[in-house]
Parts: sequence; C-alpha cells; structure tokens
Amino acid sequence: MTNLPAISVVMPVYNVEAYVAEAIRSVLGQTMADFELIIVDDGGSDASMAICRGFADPRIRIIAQANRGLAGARNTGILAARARIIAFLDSDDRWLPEKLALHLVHLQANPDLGVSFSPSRFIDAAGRPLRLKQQPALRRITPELIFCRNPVGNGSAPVIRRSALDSVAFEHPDERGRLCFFDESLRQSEDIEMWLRLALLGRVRFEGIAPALTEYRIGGGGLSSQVVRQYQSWLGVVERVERHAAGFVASHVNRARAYQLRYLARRAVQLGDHGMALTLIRESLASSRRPLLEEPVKSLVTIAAALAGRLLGPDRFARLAGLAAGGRMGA
Amino acid sequence: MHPPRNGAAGSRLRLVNLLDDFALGGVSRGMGIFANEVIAAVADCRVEALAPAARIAPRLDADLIVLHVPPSWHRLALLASLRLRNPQARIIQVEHSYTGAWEALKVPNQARFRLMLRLAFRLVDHVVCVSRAQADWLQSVTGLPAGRISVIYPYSDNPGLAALPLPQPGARLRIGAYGRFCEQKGFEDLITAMQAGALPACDLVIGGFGPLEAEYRRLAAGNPHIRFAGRISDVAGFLAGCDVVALPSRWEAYGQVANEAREAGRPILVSAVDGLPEQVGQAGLVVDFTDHAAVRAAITALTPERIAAMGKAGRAATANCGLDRALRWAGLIRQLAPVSG
Repeated sequence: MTNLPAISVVMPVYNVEAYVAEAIRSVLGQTMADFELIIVDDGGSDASMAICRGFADPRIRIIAQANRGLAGARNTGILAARARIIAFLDSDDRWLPEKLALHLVHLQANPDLGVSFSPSRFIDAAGRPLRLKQQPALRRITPELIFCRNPVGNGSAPVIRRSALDSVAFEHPDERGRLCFFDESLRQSEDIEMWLRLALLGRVRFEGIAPALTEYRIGGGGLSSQVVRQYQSWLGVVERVERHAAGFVASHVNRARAYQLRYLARRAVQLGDHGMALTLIRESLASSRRPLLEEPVKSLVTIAAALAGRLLGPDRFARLAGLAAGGRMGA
Repeated sequence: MHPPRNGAAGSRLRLVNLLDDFALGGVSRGMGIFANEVIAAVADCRVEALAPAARIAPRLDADLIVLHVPPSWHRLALLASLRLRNPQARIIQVEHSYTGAWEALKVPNQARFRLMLRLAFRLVDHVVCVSRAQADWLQSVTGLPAGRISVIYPYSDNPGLAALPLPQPGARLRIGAYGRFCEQKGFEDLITAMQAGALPACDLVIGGFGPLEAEYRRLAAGNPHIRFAGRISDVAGFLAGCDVVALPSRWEAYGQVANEAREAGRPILVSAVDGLPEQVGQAGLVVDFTDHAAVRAAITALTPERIAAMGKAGRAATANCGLDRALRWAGLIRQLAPVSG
C-alpha cells in the first residue's frame, strides 16, 4: 500500500558540526539508494543542524527533540522509522558506499538473521585512515562472544531488523508509553547492553560480513577519568544484563571483565597514562588469564606498551605509538 | 537517481480524521498533531466533518478512519454505516469525552450506557483513550481486550511554554485557572474556597468564558483578589502571570490545561478525577477542592522551594511530549495499516 523504503538510517546529531557533513554524504552516496535518512536533532547548540538542513535530498527526514542523549536519540529515530530494516550511523563516523547494499543482501539471503554487521576501520579526527582495523569474528556469534569481545564493535556497524528491535523493546521507566530500544538510563556502553539484550532476551542471531564497511572515528585527546567512567558504565551494563540473565553473567563475567580491562588499558596507553594502564592490566589478569591464553599477542603487546610508556616517558612514547598506528594519532 | 518514493498518487496511506463538532476547542486544536512530520511520513492526513444530522456515514477515500465523535445510541446506526460503507478501512475511535467520573455523575442507567459502549466498540477496530485512567475504566466496563485499546495523550502546541521563566512567587501566590465556564470545570469550588479564606495570601486569576460566567461573577463579588481575565488567546502570556495552576474539574478525560501548565513549569493542583492525577507525579498535588481544610493545607505547603522543584519536575516530565505523542500515533498507524501489497 505505502511505498516504504528498504532501509531506515538513524543518525543522532548532537554538536558534531566538524563531522556531520561527511557522515551525511557517506549515506547519500550509498550504491543502494532506497533508504530514508532520519536525522535526530538531539538538542545541540552548534551549527550541526544548519549543516544538515543544507542537504536538499528528499530522502532526508529531520526530527528535533530536547536533549535525550545518544540512546534516546536513536530510540526516537527507530520509532519514526518506516522501513523493516534499520541501520545506525553516529554522526562522526562514515560508511563506505557499499555498506547498505551488502547488508541488505546479507539480511535478505538469511531470513533468520536479526543483526548483520561488518568490521570497522579506524579514522583520526581529520578523517584520515589509521592502520588499525578491527578484525572481529564474523560467524558463530554467541552471547558470550558479544559479552567478551563485542564483535559488532561500535554503533555505526550493525544493520538490524526492526522485528528484532521490537522483540526486546521495553517501556521507559519514567515516561509511561514511550517505547525504548536502547537503554536511555545509560550514557555510555548503551551499544553493548543492546547487543546483549538482543542476543540473550530476543534470541536474535548475529552474523558479520567480511569487508570493513564502517569508518569509526577515534577522537584525539581525552582524559584518563573518562576511562574510569567507561569502566563504571560497563559495570552498569553488567548489572542490567544480570536482571534478565543472571546465570549467563555469573558464568562469563570474569573473562568479559578481563577483556574489558585490557581494552581500557589500551585506551589508557593511547591517552598517555601508563600508570593507569598498568593498574588496569593487573586488574585484568586478576579477573581472568583467558585473554592471555586466547589472544597472547594482543595481550602481551598491551602489557609491553604500558611498560614502554613508563620507561620512555609519555612524549617519546606518543611519537613512536603514532608511527606504529599509521600516522597521526592524537596524543 | 533513486527510485521515486511515495510519488504515485494512491500509493500513500490515507488517514481521515472524522469530527462532528468544530466548536469543541480541545478536539479540533488537537488535530494539529497529525501535521507532525513523524505522522505525515506514514500517512496523508486530512480532516472531514460529519454533518450534525447525518444518519448515513460517507464513503471515504481512506485506509484509516480516526473517529473523534463520541458514540451514543442515536449514532450507532451511523457508526454501522461507516463500517459497512468503508470495508477497506481500519476505524480507530478516539474517546475524548466519556470517563468514569462523568459516568458516575451523568449516567442514570449505567447498564444501558455500557451496553451502548460495547456495541459501538464492536464496530471499530481500535480504541484510543486520552488517559490511562480513562482506558482502565473503559476496559473494565466494556471488557475490551488490551490489544484493542491504546493510550495516547492529546497534544496541542502552544508556542513559548517551554521557554517561560519559572515562577518567582511574590508576597501573594498567584493561582491561575482557565477553561470553559461550565459545570465540568468546577471553577466555582475555587471561588468558594477563596471566599471562605481557604486560600490565604493568594490571588485567583480565572481565564475563559462560558455559560456560568454570571454565576462565577456573583460568587466572586466583592473580593478584590479574584480577577477574570477573559478569553485566553495567548496561553504562555496568561501562564506567565501565574505561579501555580488549579484544575478543580468534576471530570476530565485528560486535561490539556494541566499539560500546558507543566510545560510552562507551573505546579498543578488537580482534583482526583479521571486523567488528572496521573499527570501530577512530582509536578503538583492532588486536592479535594470542596474540602477547605485540605485546600488550605495544600496551599500552605507550597513554599517557593517546592514550587520551583514542582515546576522543574513538570517541565522535565513534558519535555518532548508533543513528539512522543506523535510517535505513538505513527506507531499505531503503522501497526493498524492494511499490510502493504
């Protein structure tokens, strides 16, 4: 009856004037053209929305709301979406032109699949590709793999069936009648909580396709205190997952924590706080030795980087680390 | 470039809002929500009026018919003909008026009234209530299954409410009340409470007009602290002159005034009827306006700090409410739309 688009793209926008045009162009340049792009103006204060309104493409829809945060903006976008398949793009990231076409084919060929994802490449603040590439498992994605390794990687990677999202929707605790998909009470780590809820509660099947189709921006700078906050938000996720899958959490939390702490140790190394990195590695090993057994190279490199930073001093280390990452990583 | 979307005539979902009474302020102003982008994206919406004396419903060029006319015995035939003459359409009844408190006051033969509701609801696909309390009552008296009933609060956009500075109460607390001067609104209880001294150090400002105006003025005579503001065309302007807003209604399916007051950061004092208490939360108090001791206790509890906290809570609870209600409508339309072919 209605001519609905094949895919709804949900893009929250909040004070991203430096990047949002690139993000939009990467959507409008998709080879699969049958989509709607829902831009959710999440009540920011910079020129982002003026930039968005500068695009005249009829496939763009703009929805404005008072600030709700990333999860709340994505939820509004999902609620306004018309397609049966929903793709998410954060407004500081980019897609390669084949992104939607390949995920659409993947989902159409596998009707039992709820989430299709692909690896991400990393780009720096200026949009230049870093040598780093995420190389996640693509098949046999179990809930414990999602918990420990998060193969989906980031919020701009997955393309998800609306029916899968609907299967884990819940009512907002403070706003009766507002349907939530992402948990709006989380201000970080809302992705991993959502993927776990989809996998555990919705029994949704995940699978990846090989090409790296998302360019995920790693911001330069940042503070060590953010690493601490990130760990706290991860603990908040564990607490939420425990509510519907206590046995699952009990079985896997030590290994997952070890991986999470190792990841945060790498973040601390990037930020130049090697003391914190070493502390996090110690905590990681105390939680579980399995990362060391399962991914010895990556684990040892993380340990070595933390120690090297200690010995070399932050400035020389940053120069060397920048070279190793393929160019100009922010300090 | 890309395939034409929604281009060809007839490929879009068509939704008709069917009204019978353009004079009813709240209902026709509430049509504005159907112009919201998120609803316009899923359906072409238009408004049509039912002739007041119509016995046979029109054939409508529509996939969804949203009926804003309350059912009644003499309209059952009309409803049946709407169903018969529009077999392709899903019909949604929006219940703007009937409530538990109204039924208790106004319906002499409850069994007959409830039978009429049950018959009417058999002729529609879905019922939208304007408050949770109304839905609970309607479900309990008609046995309508939960899947056929939704709650979507009504919304009319009043520019400037969310930007209004929070009230700064002075020596005298300014209590505002506005609406139609009729039995439903119960403003005489407020005036009587003022005259009995239950609202010490308060000014009462009443906006609106209606059949009971002469009665209100007679009750208020001689009190310099009661003022009539006349017809309200600028809600934000009126609320700017109030510290709190009172709704002493005898029945109230939802009470958009309470929503407007919360958007404006004004604490609400409401009577315990129908859709009013569920709007309160931390944003005000439920008060029995006929109990002067209770009225006095409520007013004296309103310190400037509490007024500020309630105002903020009301504003937080209504942030994005227009968008959320439009999204709920869009979701319901998606859910009920005939499956695309």
